[in-house]
Formats: sequence, C-alpha cells, structure tokens
Amino acid sequence: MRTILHSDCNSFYASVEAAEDPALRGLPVAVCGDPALRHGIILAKSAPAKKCGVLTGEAIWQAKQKCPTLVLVPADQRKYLRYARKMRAIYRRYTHFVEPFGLDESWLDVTGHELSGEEIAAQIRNSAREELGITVSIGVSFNKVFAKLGSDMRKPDATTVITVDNFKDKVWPLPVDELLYVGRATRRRLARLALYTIGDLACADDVLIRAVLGKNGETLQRFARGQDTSPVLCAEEAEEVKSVGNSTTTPHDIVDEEGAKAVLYLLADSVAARLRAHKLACRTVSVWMRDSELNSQERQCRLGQVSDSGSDIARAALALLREHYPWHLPLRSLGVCGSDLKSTQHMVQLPLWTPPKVLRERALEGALDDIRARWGNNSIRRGLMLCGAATQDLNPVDDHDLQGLSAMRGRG
Amino acid sequence: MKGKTYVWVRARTDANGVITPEAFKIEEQLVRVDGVMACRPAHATKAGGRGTRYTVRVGAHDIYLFLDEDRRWFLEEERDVREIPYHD
Repeated sequence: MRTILHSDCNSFYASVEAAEDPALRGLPVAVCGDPALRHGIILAKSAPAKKCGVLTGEAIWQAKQKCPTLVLVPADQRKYLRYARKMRAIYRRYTHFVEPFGLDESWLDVTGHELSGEEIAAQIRNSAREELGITVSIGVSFNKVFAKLGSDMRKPDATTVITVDNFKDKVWPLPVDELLYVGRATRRRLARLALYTIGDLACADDVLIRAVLGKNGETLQRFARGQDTSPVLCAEEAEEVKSVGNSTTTPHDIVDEEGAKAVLYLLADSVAARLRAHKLACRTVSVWMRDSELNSQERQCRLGQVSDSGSDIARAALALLREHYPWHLPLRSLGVCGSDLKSTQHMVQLPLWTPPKVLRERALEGALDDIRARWGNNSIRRGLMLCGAATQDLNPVDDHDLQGLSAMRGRG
Repeated sequence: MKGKTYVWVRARTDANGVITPEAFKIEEQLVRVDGVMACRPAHATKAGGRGTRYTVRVGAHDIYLFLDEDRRWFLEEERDVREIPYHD
C-alpha cells in the first residue's frame, strides 16, 4: 500500500504577503493584478477576506463593495516562486518523489519512510509555519486522488487521513464535483443519471458510465473507488515540457482583425522564443480567444511541419482566428500555445528544399533572440506592434508567468 | 513593518562553508557574540520575511540574528538590541 501526501498551501499568495509584512496579519487582504492594465481582478485572498465573501477572479470594485476595508496588495510572482521553491525543498527532506501541481500544491510519495504519513504531514506543517510563516493543509492517503481530496477537507493548517478502511465514510458522501477532473459538464451529465455523490459514481454500473462518459468515465469511476494507481512523478519527470503557451488580456479591447494580428504576433514571438530556448519545436498550434463578455473558446490546428518560428505560429494562429471568430463582440484576451513538441536537438525531418524566404526568417528570428537577450524584450519589435493601441504596453515575456492554455482555462 | 534592523556583522566561514557570526555593530558599538546556540531556517515572526536564524548569546541574553537571502544580516526589533549590554 502506498503512502501519498497532497500538500496545499492555504491562500498561498495572501499568506506569503502576510509572512513578508506582519502588519497584514489578520486583515482582509487580497492580492490583485494591475487595474491599469485591466488585470484588476482578485488573484487570492486571506481568510478574513474570504469571510467577507470576496471571491477569487472577481473585479476589485466588486470585492471592495463586499469588504470596504479590504487591503489590496499587487501580485509579485517572483516572491511566490521563491516561497514555492522553499516549500518544495522542505518536501524533499522526506522524498525525491515530489510532483508539483501548480505553484502551491504538490504530491509526495513517502511510501517506505520510517515515519508514518501523518507524522511527516505534521512535520511539514510545522516547518512551513516556522521556517516560511505560511500554513499548509495536507491530505494523507493511499492514492493521489484521495490525498488531494483530503487536503481540501480541512483548512487551514490541518491534516486529513483517508485510509482504505474509512474512505467510504469520508469520501463517498461528498458531491461528485469534488473529485479531481470532474468539472461542470461532467457533473451535469452525471446529475442526469441521478449520480450526485462520489459514492453514487463509485457504485454506478460500469457499462452505463462507459456509455455516457466514455473512457474518461472509467477513469473517474476508478478514482471514486480508490483504485487510482497513477504514480507521483519526481520533479524532473513532471517538469518535462508538454506545451508552451502564452496569453494576455490587452489594456483595451481588440475590435478588429488588425488589432488581433498584432497581439497574436506578439504572443507567437514569445512562444517561439521560449520553444527555441528549450530546443523544441511544435507541431500543433492552438489559439484561445475570450470576448468582452468573458466567453472563451479554443481552436487548434496542425502545422505542415514542426516549427519554432514565430511567423509560422502566428500565421497558423491568425488563420484559426479568421476561421472561428465571428467578431460579434470585441476580444478581451488572446492566447497562443504550441504543443505536440519535438526536440530540435537531435534529428529533425528536413524538407528536401527549404525556400530562401524561410531560411531568412529563421536567421532573422535568431538575431531577434540575441538582441532581446542582451537588451530586453521590448528593445526590438515588429513594425506591426506600433499600429495597435492594444499592444503598446504589453511585454508578454516579462509580465507573465508563462504557462499553457490549459492552466489559463482553469482560471477562466 | 516593525523595526527590521540591518546590521554590520563580522562572521567566520569555515572550510565546510559553515558561517558563524562573531560580532555585530549597533549604533557604531561593537557587540561581541559569546556563542551561537542554534542555527536553522526560520520565519522572522516579528519583522516579516525569513532567512537563516542564528540564536546568539550576548552576555545573559539570547537574541535572534537573521541572515537573509540577499546575504544581509538583520535583527527583528531595535528593542532587542537596546537590551543588550554593549561590549568592548
């Protein structure tokens, strides 16, 4: 039987701010983006702010209405990264099998350790409190899915143990969407079958679930029954890059294709530069579009050939936008992502003849990388960027903690 | 933020890279460290932030001396410092 821990830092961003500045302790604190650049939403909130009803993702003015004494702190991604790294160093005192899940969550496989899972959890909580000044909630179980459920059950600074003997009492009465990977759509489908709790899903007929949810249904049912066998990957394995993406909310809405084109080229250039830095090229390009009413959609296509060129990626992204976005509403945010990655370090299937234009483009992009590495990301730009007001203040590489679109979708 | 006081420190680094503070200065007065009682990573509860916390003995007092990530030494509160009998 394995011993898996899932550790979740409580209100991570807000806790880090309070750990750095004791004057914030006990106050309703919210970490927010920059309102001037329209990133003015609540990214994280402290426990007192949560009590006032402040929600992650809502606009600052809405939060202020609910809680007039709310203290706003601008987000400092580097600081959070530093704390996250320190936190992982604490985990690694017990095991090398540490799999990060976002910045503030990690799974640990401590099977075979001389201490019990609960004892390790207690020590980790203690170290986090004393060394970093933040609190964590830890779930201890025999698989990853239940460990994650456990860490959500009691907060803050608590340990929840889910064993083979007690999981039917502790886990099965919970609503089905508490289970990892059960989102709104799956919950609705299950509700149509009158399956509302995790226990309902676990006990439902296999054939029925397979018919309604397909292969994913089988996986979810295995999760609900405590039969998840997925391993905890050690950090090196987990950090293998699967996709490289970048998205942004522009300071002004994008009203036409010309404006969108400028943003897409900007994003594609930054995605391509990161691909080249990792010695990777992508086969699939996806574009993520969110309109001014916050509806989002994502479309993807395959490139004729793997590419790490900003122009190729931008052209594909623009074609997708043209095909799928009807311009019924202005665009608020755009994202570009390259996936299905291949290493360019080893063998690459070369076309028999590469047109001179393509060779020139590659050389140009290599030169751009050099210039940007020396003098900063905004030191050289495409002429196209000067046209659209939407792109004037954007610096995708320096401004954002870059991540895949799937992560963006989660934040909605 | 409460009084995080950055201080000048004289420290010894041995061949294994272990750092031992020997003396520090407050208001231009040199304060000799009589001994390091403990050393561990810790959160600076009163002043905020964190670092390697040295529990140093000065006379009859045990005080916390922090070494932060930027290699700067600090004391959490000036009050801690004032209570220390000055040496030398």
